Amino acid sequence: MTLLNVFYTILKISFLGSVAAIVILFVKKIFKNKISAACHYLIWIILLVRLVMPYYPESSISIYNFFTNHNYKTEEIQSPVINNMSHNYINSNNIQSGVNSSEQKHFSTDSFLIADKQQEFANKNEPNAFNLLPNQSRYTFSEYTYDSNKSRFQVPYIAAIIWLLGVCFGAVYILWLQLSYSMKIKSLSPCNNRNIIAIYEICKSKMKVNKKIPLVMDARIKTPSLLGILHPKIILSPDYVELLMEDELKFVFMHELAHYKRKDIIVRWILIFLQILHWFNPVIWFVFNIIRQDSEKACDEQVLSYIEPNEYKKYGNTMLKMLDIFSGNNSIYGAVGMINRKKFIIERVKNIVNFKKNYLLWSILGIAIFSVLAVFLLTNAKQPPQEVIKIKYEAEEIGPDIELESVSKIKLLSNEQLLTYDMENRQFIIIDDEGNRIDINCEGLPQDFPVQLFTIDSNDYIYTFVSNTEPKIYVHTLEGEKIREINLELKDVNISEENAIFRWDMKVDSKGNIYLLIPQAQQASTQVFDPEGKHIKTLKSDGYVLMVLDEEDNLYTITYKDKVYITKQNPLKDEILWEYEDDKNLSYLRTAAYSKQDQSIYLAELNNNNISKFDPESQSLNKMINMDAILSEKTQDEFNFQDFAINNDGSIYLCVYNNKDNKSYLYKVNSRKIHIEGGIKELTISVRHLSPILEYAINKFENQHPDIVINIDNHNAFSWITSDMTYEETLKTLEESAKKANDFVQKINAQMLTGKGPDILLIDSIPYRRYADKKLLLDLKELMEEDASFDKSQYYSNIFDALEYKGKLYAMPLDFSYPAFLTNTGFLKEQSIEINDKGWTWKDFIDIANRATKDIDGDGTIDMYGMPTIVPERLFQYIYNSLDKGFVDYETGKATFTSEEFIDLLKMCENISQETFVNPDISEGDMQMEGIVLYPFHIHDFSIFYSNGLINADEVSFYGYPTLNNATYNFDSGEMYGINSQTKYKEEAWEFIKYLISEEIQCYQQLYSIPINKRAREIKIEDRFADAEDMMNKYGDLYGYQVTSLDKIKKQLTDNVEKLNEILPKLNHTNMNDIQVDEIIEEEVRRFFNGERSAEETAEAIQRKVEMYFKE
Amino acid sequence: MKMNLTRRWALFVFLFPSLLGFLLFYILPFLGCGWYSLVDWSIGGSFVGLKNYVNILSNDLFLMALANTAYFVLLAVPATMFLGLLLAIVLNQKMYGSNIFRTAFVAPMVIPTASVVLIWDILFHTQGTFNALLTSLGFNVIDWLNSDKARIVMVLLYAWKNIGYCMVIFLGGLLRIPKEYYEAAELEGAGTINKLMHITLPYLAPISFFVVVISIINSFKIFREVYLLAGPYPHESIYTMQHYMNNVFVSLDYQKLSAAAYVVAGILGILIYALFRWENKYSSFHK
Repeated sequence: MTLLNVFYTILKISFLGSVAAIVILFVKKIFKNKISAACHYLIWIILLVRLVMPYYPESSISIYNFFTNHNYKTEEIQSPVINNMSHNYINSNNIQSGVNSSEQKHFSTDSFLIADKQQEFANKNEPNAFNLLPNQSRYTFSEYTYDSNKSRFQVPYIAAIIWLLGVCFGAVYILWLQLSYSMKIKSLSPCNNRNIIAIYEICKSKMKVNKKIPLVMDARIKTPSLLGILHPKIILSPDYVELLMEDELKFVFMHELAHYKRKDIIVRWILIFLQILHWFNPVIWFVFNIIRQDSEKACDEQVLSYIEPNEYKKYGNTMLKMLDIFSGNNSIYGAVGMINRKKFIIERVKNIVNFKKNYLLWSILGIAIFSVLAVFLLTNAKQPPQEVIKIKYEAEEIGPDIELESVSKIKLLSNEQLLTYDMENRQFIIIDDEGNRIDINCEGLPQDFPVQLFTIDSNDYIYTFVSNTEPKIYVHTLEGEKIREINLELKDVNISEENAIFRWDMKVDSKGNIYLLIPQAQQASTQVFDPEGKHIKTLKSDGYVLMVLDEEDNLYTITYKDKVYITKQNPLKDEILWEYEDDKNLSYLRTAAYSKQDQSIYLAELNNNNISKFDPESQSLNKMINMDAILSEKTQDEFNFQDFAINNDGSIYLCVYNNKDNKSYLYKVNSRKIHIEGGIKELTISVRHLSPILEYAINKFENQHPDIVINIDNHNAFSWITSDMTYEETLKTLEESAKKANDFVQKINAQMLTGKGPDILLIDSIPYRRYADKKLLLDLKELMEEDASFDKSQYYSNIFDALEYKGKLYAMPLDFSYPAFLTNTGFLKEQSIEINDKGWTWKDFIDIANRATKDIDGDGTIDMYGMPTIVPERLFQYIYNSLDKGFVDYETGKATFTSEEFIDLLKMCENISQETFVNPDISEGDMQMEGIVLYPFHIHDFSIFYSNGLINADEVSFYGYPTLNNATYNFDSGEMYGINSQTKYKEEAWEFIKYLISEEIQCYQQLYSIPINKRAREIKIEDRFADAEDMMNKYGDLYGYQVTSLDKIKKQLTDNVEKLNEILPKLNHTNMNDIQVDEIIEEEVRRFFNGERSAEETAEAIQRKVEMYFKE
Repeated sequence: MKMNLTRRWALFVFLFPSLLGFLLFYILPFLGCGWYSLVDWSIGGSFVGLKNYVNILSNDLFLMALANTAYFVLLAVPATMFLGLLLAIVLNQKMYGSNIFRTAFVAPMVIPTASVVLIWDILFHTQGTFNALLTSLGFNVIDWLNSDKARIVMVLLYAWKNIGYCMVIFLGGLLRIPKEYYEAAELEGAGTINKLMHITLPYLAPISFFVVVISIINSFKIFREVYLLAGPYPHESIYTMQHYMNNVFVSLDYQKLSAAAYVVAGILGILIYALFRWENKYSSFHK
């Protein structure tokens, strides 16, 4: 509750209260003589209530309907809204989110962006984007925290301060007055005059006042008054009292007692309190005065009701006499005197004269008026329905006729045209929005190598970096005239070793200083040169990834390791302005750009193909567009993102490369605002990590259903495993990941318990069986059967059946894979080793692995090993998850861990890691696995194609793990989604789930496992074959494997795909443990592999604990 | 005492904020929990009466947890009290460094449990300090936390932490005993044991009741240490009531949790009520 908020609330209340007051005044004027003074007085209660409470029910008959402006409240949403929930904060609205990492077997196809041979070679060394983060170490500044320079002197703020000062002043003043007077009062002596006391007692008994209200004498006050809430007293002035007769004294007392009976003191204090709060509102002051007068009139009336009619006149005379005697003002606020404001005495006298004892009819009228006014004034105006405006992005192709062969960078000129360089034709080109192209011939530019690095400065001069012999920069105008040649004083970098100059970055600031960034993967350094090429300084760093210049020549540098670090510095002045750190698990930032329009930095992230926006003012990283989703509306071809630029009005230009026709395309992305009529439906999806598939799907789904807004709660509850981690680090990361998963489950549990969980959940480590038992998840099987448009035969329905729990389906898988050993069958054939995967056991496996470990070339070192090094815990995880038996039966609640099979399994895992057939140089997650024969793997169509390259074998195939039961075929499911049974939008949620498994989404290139949609799988297989043929024909290479015999490889691929085809319909079992059981197993197994206990003890401990789990 | 209306009203006004908090965060949830224990599922469940109670009272695991908790209380509370009393008597003498020792014994109470558990884990781990000691002396390794010895470890941990508490309170009680009694007893030739039995203990009786009650309540809180040391599913001998409640909560069985909580509350309530009744009788008898 900030000061501004309170101030605005008070303003609002004041305004609404004033309106109410005016209405009441009006009404009272109409019914002036019809209702009693008491009613007049009581009507003001409505006003008081109105001024005190800020919240009222809405109704259409409220008087305030006249005062609301009819602008619809519009809310602009950039949907889908992605909320990032870290453990200590929640950032909402389109925050960049984490990336799929749970399966580390998906290899990126980015390595195969091929524009020309040089690039191809360089790309192969590029770190793989999916499961590895390049090892960037952080440049540590001293801790500068970002200080937002928000102006503190805005007008509303000043007004609020003034109001607050007024309130304080008023409060202090009143308090001081009250305190000082109450001190004085304490020292006053009570009345001693017997007569007066006697009269007083008579009055008290007449009016039936029981409380002891002492009479006190004070010479300083003028009119007799009642004072005090807790200990009321009536104060008289001894001098003046003597001037009054007995009767008159009686009337005075009765008047004061009437005030007491009506509790006017309390009302007065409330009035004072409100008056202080609303000190700026003159209407309030005026109206409160009237309230005070009304209270007097009401008291008069009450007095009159206690005395005989023939005494009315005497009462009036008394008042006039008092007016005569006491002509001074009462200066005590909390006191209620008999005389206030001479003018109104006249009114009061009039009332006295006209007083009639109340008739019942008038009371009823009074009540009626009261209720009507209450209803009118104590309700708020109806809020108009909120209109929602969605911001959507649309791409349009620039110039379908420009023939761009291979473009990797685009720069925006000041006249909003794009400058690019075509590598194939070695030509600079300017392109405008209509698609007209102008070729530039830069004179004097060496033509033997394509330009790999260029940039423009604020004058639109082209700076080209050339490095055939020495580092030089050529500066040309847009017409191609050479302005000058700069020799760069490049320090600490050996130019001849650099062959990936295109990975560098170069920027020129407004003064002509040149910034050169050499990234980490090579000889990292960031250097600044003056316009003559002289080296000014090297920024201390181990390698930034990206850098951007803003219009004031401040440099923003971006690094990421486990977090994203953005630093703003001014290198020439040696100032570091701030550093921002964000742990959103971003990976693989490709390019960055600075936008003058909103002064933010835009980052392109390659894994999810997103562009995110970092706003320095609000220090938030938000997701803007998903390129896949936007471009998929325009073209069905797959493309690779190259570069982007932002122009001054906020439109984004994308440069993409189409793999199929080997051409580059330019798109302009515009934002569009869509008005949504009627209400919007909000679907909330909670995920542990946001996969690219889900992101793609939500973007497209929203385009197709404009009235649905999707909120994603991304909990980021995972940790990366990188290939350079040691054994201990791997274990630690596994533990950390498990703990995060646990926290995630607790959070979701808590949400579901309140009944307000998300509409759709990612069922990854969530105990869905428990949820199902508690009827928290919808039965998808039922929905499938009810939906006439759902055709089960389009999908691998055996997977659906395998995932059933107690006959119902609660989780919908998007994809799955087949766990098996990837085998170098070529080598096995040479060695005449045979695998019979229909009935082999683990002993056979060990045997085969041993036999496969050989020293081929006779040099004393073993060249071919049976298996790579896999840490025993991971090996156990692999095998345990792929077994056809989970040792736990959830439906009956029984566990069989003490069986011999489990104990044997433990022992075997332990032994394998120490066997001689394990290759010490290759561990899982390595990119090149040459030198092993068997590799525990997840087989899917795509992996069939790159396996040759992976283990560098001429012939590969796969064999299912040794099973204990021949009839079960195990599979591993990928992402699974379930629907919350408490959701308000059942149909919409089901529509979305259906959409996730529809052909459109399942054909997405980032879905690497086996899609559950059969047709999508067929299309993908065709595409893969086409890609593979293309690759092999052009380059003789299949994802890193040098193809010797085209036909042989083709046959092998076809055979393997066929083999998979045969297996898929047979898949009928998967192992999915509840997370608690998994934790128990993991902990005990870890102890076992640590050597703390024997296998039997471990099995027993697990059995005992799991039994406890089921008993609860 | 007779209070007039104003005074009562003023009392109420001063108590109100605190009362409000207590009501909001303690009483109301407690009553809500009671309601949950009578339905079969916390969201839109139907009223099932005492079925949940019957369920858990016939559940082996729950009864085992109950037995474990009772066993632990019966073991830990007397031990702590006895040792606390001993220490208090010893440290009541005027000896050099009694203050330092008093601080040292109270210090374990203020150390956060998580830090204590770290050290305890190192000590009692299968490859930890004590086992190293044992192997160096030639004995076999004892698996402290995963066998029957776990209970002893927990009692030890509890005692180490809470002796200070008992000691401090007993010290306070001892200081209240007038010295004259001791001097009079000495004059009459009473020995140490006599003095202890006939002066110290009777005068400590009211304090002891307080200590007993607080110790029992504290001993129920051993869950924290056990959970941090041994996880949600520890060895059977240290699986206490709160483990059951915690695990059941994670499995979303809210109704079982509420029923278990009420059972524990009931038992504790009866126990403490009985103790207070006895204390009343005892102190009125002695007056």
